[in-house]
Amino acid sequence: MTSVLFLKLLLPALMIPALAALVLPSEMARSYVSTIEPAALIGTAALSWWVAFLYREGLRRVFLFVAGFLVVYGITNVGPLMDAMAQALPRQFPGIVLALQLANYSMLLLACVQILRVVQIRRLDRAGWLIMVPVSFGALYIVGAAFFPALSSLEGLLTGRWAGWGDAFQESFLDEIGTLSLPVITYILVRTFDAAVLLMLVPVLLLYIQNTHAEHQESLTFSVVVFGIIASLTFVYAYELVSRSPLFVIAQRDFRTGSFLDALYIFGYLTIAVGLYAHRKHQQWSLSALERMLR
Amino acid sequence: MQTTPSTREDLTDEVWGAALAKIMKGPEAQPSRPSMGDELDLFVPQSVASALLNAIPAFARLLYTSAYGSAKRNAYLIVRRLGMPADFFWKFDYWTQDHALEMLTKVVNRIFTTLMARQKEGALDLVGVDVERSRFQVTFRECAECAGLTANAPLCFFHAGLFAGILGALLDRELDAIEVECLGRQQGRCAFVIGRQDDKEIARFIEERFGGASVQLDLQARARASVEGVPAREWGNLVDVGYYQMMLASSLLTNLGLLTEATLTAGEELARRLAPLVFGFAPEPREAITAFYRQLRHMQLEIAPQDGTLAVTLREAPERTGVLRDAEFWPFIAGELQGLLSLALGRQVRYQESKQEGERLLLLFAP
Repeated sequence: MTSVLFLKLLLPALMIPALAALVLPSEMARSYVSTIEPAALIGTAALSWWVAFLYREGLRRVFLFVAGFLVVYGITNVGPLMDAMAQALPRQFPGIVLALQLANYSMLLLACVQILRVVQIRRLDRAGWLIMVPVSFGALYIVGAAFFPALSSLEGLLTGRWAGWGDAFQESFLDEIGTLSLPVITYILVRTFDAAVLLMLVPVLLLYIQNTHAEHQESLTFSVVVFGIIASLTFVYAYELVSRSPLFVIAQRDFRTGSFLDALYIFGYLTIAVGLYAHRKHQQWSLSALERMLR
Repeated sequence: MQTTPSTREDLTDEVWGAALAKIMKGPEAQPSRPSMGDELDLFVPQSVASALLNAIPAFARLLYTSAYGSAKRNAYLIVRRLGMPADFFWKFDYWTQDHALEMLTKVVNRIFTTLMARQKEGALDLVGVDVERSRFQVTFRECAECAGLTANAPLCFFHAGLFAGILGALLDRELDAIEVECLGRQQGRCAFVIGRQDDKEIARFIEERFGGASVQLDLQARARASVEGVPAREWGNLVDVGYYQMMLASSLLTNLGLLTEATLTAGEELARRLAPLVFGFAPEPREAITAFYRQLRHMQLEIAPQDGTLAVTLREAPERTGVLRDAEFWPFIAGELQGLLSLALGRQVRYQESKQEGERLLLLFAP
């Protein structure tokens, strides 16, 4: 086994558990998604913890923070736990959710800062920084659409006009935004943090691509992990654009129902897991391959 | 063939490739020397390096830096040929001490220790890694470069460059190696500390080492021990031709333009020092010279007059066989023969030219 072969086999195979969310009957799909998403996140957190101890200093912190992010993210994805909390502490619940999200994203942002230090992103070439221009527009969209849901569709994005939800909806949304209630703050923060993560992690992938033919390349398996994190956080915005629905609507309508969005999340989480496992096994597999070549 | 710098580099790559082929799975390679076999006495490479060290003070640095460059280029090619991924040592600076030692030891020992053991040039062991300071400790037992020699200072410049180059290639950094123990100083083994070129302690030591006095070695005693079969080390006195060719290709052929005259002179000087030993081999001087080289398993010689000149036919000389068959002529041997023939004839003869005739190399000498 080699890391490349493992990734070539496993990444397409991840489509199976992801697409299962779409093909299973409705009720079964709900339970499947409600189980596999937190399980994948918590299992992936354990993998990240396992990988962390290969390293020291900044790189160990990267994997520990990623593990922390995944475990908190996983806990917030345990439906019965969150439901029980909402019932037991109805008034405090929005605050708890905000606190969890802050804890969650703090760890991810700290991981991103460490990643940028470790990979020395200054080495990114001019073409890479040019690619960051459209990526920045993507990040701008993610934040902007929090305030102007008209942007949440391709037509809206192109024309600046509302697509499909009516002016009344927009007015009520703007009123809601104006109140700055805890759910609204959480909503805006989540989008802002996702945009920040996108801006910080895409250069890491670009650096990998830039060095594909270098003598000493960037890590393929680490890049898969980074891709998985980006995908887990930002696929939803592509879905938002394509489905012509703002995220807060999607969250209520599609999340945990066996939707395409669920399939994307499952794929994203499992991609991180596969990347981490390959990262941990990379050297062992390489040495076995070496052994097969030598007398 | 007149070799250019790029073809010299290709030759070096071929020598490394041939060494690698010996440890890779696949059919066994045919011996490069059908009748003499693939081993020669370790005095042969020692005599070349030591004679030049004695003759040219700057040669130590040249040997070291050339070996470093050759190893840095070829160690990388070797690990890639063996299918090692280019991101194997990704972010080595962040590896834990234990993990770094384990992985680096596995790679170095499995590839380079095996390769060097196969060539009988020594037993390489990576024994310590300090990730934070980027320092590495290497021991080298049974060192073919210095075994049997008695030196006043560490003298394994070729292997120092080699080890720094190998680790530098694996970890993608510029390293230097300092020899802290040397078998040639009767310290039981050679040991090296390898660190970054910008490591002040390492840099200071390197400057002192190369700025110091030249190494003086008693090659007569060493040659006598070899021809009398006194083992210079536990592994015995033979090394693989591949080691000698690697040393020639990595360090000497690449600097041939610079060394041509000096090697001829150094070879002649060595011959004068070895003459009493050589002429003890047989009553007839030409027979004695032939027997001396045969005894060292260096090559087969025939010496005969030809049109007013003296023609020496060399067969299976490692300097011009196997992967080096098309290499530029290395004049050290011409210098040696010039010295020995002059003493044998009682008058000065001079090397005129060389001609490659199939597998034979013809050297012409004239008064």
